[in-house]
Amino acid sequence: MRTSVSLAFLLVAMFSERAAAEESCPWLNAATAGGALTAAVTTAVTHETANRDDAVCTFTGERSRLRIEVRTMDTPRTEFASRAAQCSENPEALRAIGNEAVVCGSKGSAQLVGRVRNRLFVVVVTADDPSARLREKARAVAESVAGNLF
Amino acid sequence: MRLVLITAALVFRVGLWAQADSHPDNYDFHFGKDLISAPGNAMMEGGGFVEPGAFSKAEYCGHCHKEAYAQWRQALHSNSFRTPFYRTSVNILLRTKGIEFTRHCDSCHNPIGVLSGALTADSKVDRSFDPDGLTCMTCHSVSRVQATVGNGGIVMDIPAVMVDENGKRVPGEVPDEEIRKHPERHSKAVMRDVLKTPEFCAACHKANLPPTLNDYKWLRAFTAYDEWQNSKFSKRNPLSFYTDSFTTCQGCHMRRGELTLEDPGAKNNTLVSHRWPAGNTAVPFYYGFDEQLKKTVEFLQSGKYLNVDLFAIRKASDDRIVAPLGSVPFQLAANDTVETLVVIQNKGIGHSLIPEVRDLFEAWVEFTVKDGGGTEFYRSDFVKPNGTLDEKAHSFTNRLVNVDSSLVDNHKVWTVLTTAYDNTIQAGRSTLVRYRFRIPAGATGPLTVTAKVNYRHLRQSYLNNVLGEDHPVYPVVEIASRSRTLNLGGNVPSGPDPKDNPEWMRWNNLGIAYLDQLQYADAVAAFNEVVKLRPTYADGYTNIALTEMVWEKYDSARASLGRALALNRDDARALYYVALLEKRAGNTNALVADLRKVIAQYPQSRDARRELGVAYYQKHQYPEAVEQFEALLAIDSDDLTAHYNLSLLYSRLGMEEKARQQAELYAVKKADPGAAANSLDFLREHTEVSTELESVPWHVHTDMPEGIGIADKR
Repeated sequence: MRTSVSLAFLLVAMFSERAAAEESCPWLNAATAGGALTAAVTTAVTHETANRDDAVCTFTGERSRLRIEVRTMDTPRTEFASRAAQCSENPEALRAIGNEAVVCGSKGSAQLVGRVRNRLFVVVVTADDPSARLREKARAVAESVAGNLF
Repeated sequence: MRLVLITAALVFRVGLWAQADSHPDNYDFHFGKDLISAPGNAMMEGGGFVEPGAFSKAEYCGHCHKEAYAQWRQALHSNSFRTPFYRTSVNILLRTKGIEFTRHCDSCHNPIGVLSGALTADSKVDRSFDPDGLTCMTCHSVSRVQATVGNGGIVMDIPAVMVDENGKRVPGEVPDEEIRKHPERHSKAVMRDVLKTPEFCAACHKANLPPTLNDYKWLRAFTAYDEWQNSKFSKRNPLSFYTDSFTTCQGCHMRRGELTLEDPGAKNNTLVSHRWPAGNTAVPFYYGFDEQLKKTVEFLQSGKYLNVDLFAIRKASDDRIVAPLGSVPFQLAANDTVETLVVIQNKGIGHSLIPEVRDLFEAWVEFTVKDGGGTEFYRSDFVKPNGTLDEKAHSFTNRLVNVDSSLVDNHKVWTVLTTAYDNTIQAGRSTLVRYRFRIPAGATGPLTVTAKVNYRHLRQSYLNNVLGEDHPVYPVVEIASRSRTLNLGGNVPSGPDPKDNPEWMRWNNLGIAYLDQLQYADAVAAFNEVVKLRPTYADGYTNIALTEMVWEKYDSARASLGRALALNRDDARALYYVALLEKRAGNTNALVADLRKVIAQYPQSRDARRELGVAYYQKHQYPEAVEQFEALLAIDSDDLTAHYNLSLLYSRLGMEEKARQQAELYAVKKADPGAAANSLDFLREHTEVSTELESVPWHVHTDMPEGIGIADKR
């Protein structure tokens, strides 16, 4: 009996873990993320707020990483402005990424902060290779994310 | 040589070719085995999927074809998938019904996505092709179209930029020097004849909502192709009101222009447009494609498409119309109540105004009157401060209605039950809009009366849904306008403006508008003015006859057609209407003879084929009837009469399986008689549009209190 309970517990635990591990990113699939990073990636999706529509997706390659955060804003204009202001390293306003977007960063890391209506999205691409065109990658990823948020 | 090419292809990048029996892992064949694109129709030659990498990126083509690439990058086709205006709508479908249903839309908007099997839950396909929409290789790899079924009814061949010495397609990219060495093989791979046909455009510019999408029944969504086929530009329809030279879709939307960049595809330093200018200003505005926006506005404002005619006025004190304005004298005074008749002609568009998704696009008439000091004292049909259009504006839009008799908003077409209202002007036709105003006491002349047709892409409610309400103001384009100066006191003939139609055509357009508003006496009177001004114009008499036929004055119709045929005994349009009179009189042999003459001149006339098929059926000449209905289905694969009659004819000829298929098609495509009730429910709640229906010809736009004006006096 004890063995059976333990086995059942183990199975439940295994399936729970597997289910959690299999949650896919709602705004970018692993194949596209891997294409952007030019690497095979592992995916992790976490929810940092009570709103299940908000999430953080992390794609990790051997020498690069992509993080996508999406959250719902109560006061879109002010919250976006506040978050965009933090994107301060050589910031560049972008057109045609969501409603509005700004990209910043330097060698090794690029960050893009954007908005679709009341949804804030932040894309961060990091890579060991200093020659990687990370702003372009962030923009390409952000376009997909924004497209799925519309 | 073949080995060299194949090796080169392997060296550069080979798009792996999936066999028909292989498919991406976990692909959801939701709509049946092998139906990879349903509810859409896109397919590969031989069936199956294709690896997305088989389609070379547009940049690959662009490193030689710089002009075409630069144009394409800003055009609607390259942005067919990624724009927020499309994604908002298709995302609703994805979220409410599932990604597999989006294959309906994406068979046109993202065929690589469909054909690579990317549109399935938990897809493992790299979607980096999304931002390129319809690339060079998607269009230039199409080998044929599936009749004219639409919904992305293309058949895609192996994407290739070269054929080998045996004409076999060589997949993947090849070195530039190979293309330079064998330009004819490059041309053979990418420039198939189908690209130049209107049927190629029909693959996506004709759409329906199948039961697999809406769980209801087949509904027509739009068909710019059929509208073109029925227009004067196709030379396939003898019944158009006017005639013109043959022009395809490409003839208007892919006109040659001078090069600004290098392009080996150019001829005489010109290239066919890869901008496909049309009406969409929203996409170039959103992306900041200034050149595309400029070209689009220039296209819309070229002056070729619409004619606005301030045709007549009618004073409250007089039942007669003063017409045509500019050609006749009249008096006006302060305090006069004036009704203005504005005739708007779809003169040079090869399809309707506005085509396709009339629930999102918005064109409307704006009418103003100013006094001598420039003060506007009457305005109708305006954009309000919140960006929405005056609900009572005369707009060329539609209202789609769902099962709750409510407006289908956000282009949720899978919820459409019926169309409650569809106010368009078909190619070659005209509409009449009436405005009534009172000249203020003490007004100084001269008055300036102006009517404009404005257009915007998209209607404000949809822009708000897509972008929220805090978006920039999207462009409004004036497509056509006409102003006239009216003196307070005496007015003398002023002569025509260079943009004006000749006087006979002004009357003709009025007649066409009256005919469409079921005002038969007024229509005949207008057409009589046409033949007075142009007695050798056979169509003038045919127009009279057509009106008399729908007015059930058959004898006088026959006499009018006799006059048309006296001018031209082979006149196909007149012969067709004579045939209808013969049909009514029971003269089947004469009916058949006349229709055969029409078809000899216009083998793709739907109407003549349809009537001839019925005539043969009535004569029990079943094989001949089948021939006509099969020809009709080749012209329009959705013709209900053909489906119905073929279901009976095949059965009589012992072809039971074919009979069953046609009966099924008829049942699914036949209009739902119950849907009309939902239309009526909607119209009862929305008088601002129900008064605009063509069956309410006494409707006048006015800001005057009810009970004042000409309509009441009459």
